[in-house]
Amino acid sequence: MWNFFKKEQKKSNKKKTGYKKKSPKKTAESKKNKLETLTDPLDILDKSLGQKLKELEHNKKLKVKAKESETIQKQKPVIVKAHIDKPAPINFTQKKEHTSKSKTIKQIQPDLKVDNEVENGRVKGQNINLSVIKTLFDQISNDFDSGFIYGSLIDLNRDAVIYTFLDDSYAISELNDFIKQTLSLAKVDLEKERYFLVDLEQDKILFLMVFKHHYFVLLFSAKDLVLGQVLNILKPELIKKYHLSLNEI
Amino acid sequence: MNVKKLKEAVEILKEDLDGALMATDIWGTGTGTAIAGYNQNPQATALFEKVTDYMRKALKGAGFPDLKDYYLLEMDNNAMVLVLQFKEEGFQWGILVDSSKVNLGLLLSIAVPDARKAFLEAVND
Repeated sequence: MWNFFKKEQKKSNKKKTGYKKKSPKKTAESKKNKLETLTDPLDILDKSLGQKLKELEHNKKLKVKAKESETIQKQKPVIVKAHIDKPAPINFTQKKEHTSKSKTIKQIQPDLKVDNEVENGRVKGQNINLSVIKTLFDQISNDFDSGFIYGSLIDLNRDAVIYTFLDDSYAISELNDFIKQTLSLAKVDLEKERYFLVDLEQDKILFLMVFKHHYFVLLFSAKDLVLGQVLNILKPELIKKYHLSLNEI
Repeated sequence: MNVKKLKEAVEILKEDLDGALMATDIWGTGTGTAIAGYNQNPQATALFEKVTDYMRKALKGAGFPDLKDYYLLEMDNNAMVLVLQFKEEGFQWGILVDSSKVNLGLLLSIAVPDARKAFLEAVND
């Protein structure tokens, strides 16, 4: 019985020793470390402080990042302002070309008949070359820049808009009646073209160039307008291009 | 209104335009009757009273701003009509000039401001 016990003890010792033999140092060290980690209060304090320091550092980094993002956000309007201060040059021709409409006049001028069906670039029944008129308006827009507010070519006899430059809400038929009545009263012969120059409120100048069958309505800002340019440069150009639009095939 | 100064205003215009002035009339808006002028033409006064009225209505109806200080109309035989507006005072001043004898710069930049100033002095005296 004892022997058996001894044998059993030996076996267990063998097992133990066998176990010990496998990594005696490692076990001892790990035990020691375990004990140290578990028991040393300074280490615990150290570690918790370290942890806190790490956390603080992390928070600090976060704050710095937040500040950076804040400053970036704050800087954004400055960048936008810089863009406002220095805008890209506006191409008036391009902008106005976009709004130029010759086929959707009905929406803009509901008071006038629309008689500008286009066939091969010409107004049907009138033989006006629209591309010449369009080029003319583009040229006026370039020459007078933002001083040119509105323009259109109207059929005097049929009360119809041939071409309009820039969207607007002007009821041009009212001008038709005025032109007809005035010319009739003053017995003005329209074999030669005539013009009206009207000084308007709100710093505007209205220039009406009247031909036998059509007339141009041009509205300018009086602020930057030099009348000599209208009468000495624009007027001859209107006459020239109008006749060109009628004759050019 | 100082009639003497009114006549002086017409004389100033004549002098400034130096022979280019064909006729001129100053009339009351709404009445169409002249109070001063040179080579006066009552028919022309009545006509331009009507033209101004048409124009005002046309501009309003078309959605354009109201007539301000003047309008200019090119007529036959080198004739040009300039109609000055004195809205507050209720007067209009029609000026018929020979455009071959005077340039528009002189008319609008010198003759008209001088005439306007002289007329306002006459009215407010």
